[in-house]
Amino acid sequence: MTYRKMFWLAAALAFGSALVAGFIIGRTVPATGGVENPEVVLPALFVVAGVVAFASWLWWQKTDDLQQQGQLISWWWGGNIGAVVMLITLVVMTGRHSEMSMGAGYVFGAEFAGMLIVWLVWKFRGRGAAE
Amino acid sequence: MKNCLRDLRKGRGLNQADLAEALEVSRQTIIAVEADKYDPSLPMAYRLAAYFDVAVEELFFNPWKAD
Repeated sequence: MTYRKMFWLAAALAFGSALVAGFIIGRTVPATGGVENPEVVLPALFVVAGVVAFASWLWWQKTDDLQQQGQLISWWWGGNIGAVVMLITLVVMTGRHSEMSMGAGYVFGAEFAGMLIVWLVWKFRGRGAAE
Repeated sequence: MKNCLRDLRKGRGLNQADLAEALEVSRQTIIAVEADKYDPSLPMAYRLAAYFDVAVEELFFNPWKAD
């Protein structure tokens, strides 16, 4: 199989697994209110998310320098600016302590925490002997 | 970084897709490097040089080195 075909196969696997995960979440979690047994559903859905992350990692391994740089720059600048614009819009339109604003805040906070953890790992893995 | 990748590639009778496939990179990368729109990482620069059996500085022109 050619490299190009392997790349698109990995991409299809990553996006396909995300679609399947969305379907599973849609079938598992009610539209309003939480689930009745979060102690079972929450870990199960984390496993589903882990499968999507693994499929994405397989695709990432097939990307080259330029593609990775494009993804990193796009997610950092595009993703963060988009999130901030939506956060400000929600706060202005629904109030600082509305459920929507709080929910968006939790997502943004979790994104920042995840970024900080990965950044620290990256920082310490890249250290060499200081002289 | 200016380079002669296009000349070397054409010298081998390859199109951009052929070279990308041989090096297992995207065609977009070959296009961007040839157009001086993207500076590849050091491993990729060496990989390109090895493929054409030339030194890296024969492929990429060092702008900080006096002629």
